[in-house]
Amino acid sequence: MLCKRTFQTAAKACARTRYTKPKPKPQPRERVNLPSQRTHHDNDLIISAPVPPTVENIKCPDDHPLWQFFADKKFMRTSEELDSQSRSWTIPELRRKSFDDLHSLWFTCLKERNILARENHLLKNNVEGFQDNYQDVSEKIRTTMWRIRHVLSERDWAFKIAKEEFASEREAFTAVFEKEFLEAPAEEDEESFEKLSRFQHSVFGISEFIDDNVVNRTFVDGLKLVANLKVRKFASRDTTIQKFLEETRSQTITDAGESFVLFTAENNVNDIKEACQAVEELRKSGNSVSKYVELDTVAKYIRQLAQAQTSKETTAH
Amino acid sequence: MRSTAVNLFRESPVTLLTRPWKKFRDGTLFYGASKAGNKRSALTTKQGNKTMYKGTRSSGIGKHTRYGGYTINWKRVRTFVTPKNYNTDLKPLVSHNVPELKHQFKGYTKGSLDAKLYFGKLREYIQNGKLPSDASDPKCYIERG
Repeated sequence: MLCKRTFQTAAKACARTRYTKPKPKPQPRERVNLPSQRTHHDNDLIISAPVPPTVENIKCPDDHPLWQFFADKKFMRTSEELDSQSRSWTIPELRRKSFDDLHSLWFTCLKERNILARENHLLKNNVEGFQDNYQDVSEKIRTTMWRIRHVLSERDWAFKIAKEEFASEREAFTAVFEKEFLEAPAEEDEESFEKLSRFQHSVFGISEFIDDNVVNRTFVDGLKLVANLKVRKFASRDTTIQKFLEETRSQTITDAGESFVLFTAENNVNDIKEACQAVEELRKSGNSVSKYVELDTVAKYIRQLAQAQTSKETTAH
Repeated sequence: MRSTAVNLFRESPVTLLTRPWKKFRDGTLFYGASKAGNKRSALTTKQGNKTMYKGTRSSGIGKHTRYGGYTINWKRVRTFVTPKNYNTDLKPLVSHNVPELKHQFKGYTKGSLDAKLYFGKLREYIQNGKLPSDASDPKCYIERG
């Protein structure tokens, strides 16, 4: 057979006798490793004059966060500029500070230590100095820092220990306060009610701000105590309140709902009298809160009170 | 025997690289901590036994991915909480002219951890509210505690 001389491809095309179905296109792959260089600049590169590496070509904004590692934007402080005489804070001094203050101080110390570490590193490695100025100051600041932590831990332990011992101390503590509160004359009402608010906050955790309160057993106990104190405070000044107190069983209010009504009343004779009347009405209608659902009920009341307050505030604005 | 080329004795960048025993002008070696077998140089990460850890324990923040990347687990990243009310007036050190404040804790056997002291302070707070203590006066150097 005589073969015609052709291109290789043409020969192949001639050789194909059967039509083969082309394969379907593959699905686009989900995770494709992109090439590391995705752009090229074959055509748009321009040769320009070289940029000399000088300080003038480097621009740094004044509020660059790395300036926090420099003292007064100086490369290094000299030994005269460095305050090497000052001492670290002592523990008694730190005991007087609030948590926020201690936190701020700790943060300031940390930043200062960063600066000193940088300067010390430069001194030891680049300048080939052998002084320990920066290290000494840094050690002093480290002392301040562990003392801050010490004071915080001490505070925590003091609170824990006092909390444990308060279980046995509580009755005597409240008895002393009750006596003082009830014996205070009428002229000092404002002061004694301020004392009462501090007392209820520190012993029972009842805050003046309604949203902050968490209703639990101590809260409800405190609520009852405060209600009793209020009624007894005004009982000697008003006959209706006196009568109300005598009518209640063993002269103490044990119902959480009644206590709540009295607790929310303003601290004056008329408001307490109104609250007493409201409580009497509650008793007549047979509305009493069982001690098993006390917590839930009081929580509900507190929530309602908070809602009422927020709606009042929004309408006022 | 072939004689050594004169160029090998002359100092050039190439001869410097090929002669590691040659020191730099400031005395440091081209490589290694010391030329003599000095055993007191710091260990590297590859030395020591299996308990030896040389590092700052600052890594281990995330995982390497199959594709050569690295995902950071932000829960493991060290963070510093900035104070809510940052009081910048407080400086890390106190002037050496200020005498140190002393706390006495007279009558309180456990010092600052004494529950009696805590209750006393609580009573004072309920009575008077928040009051500045004695040491708020800069002349006071001894306080109850």
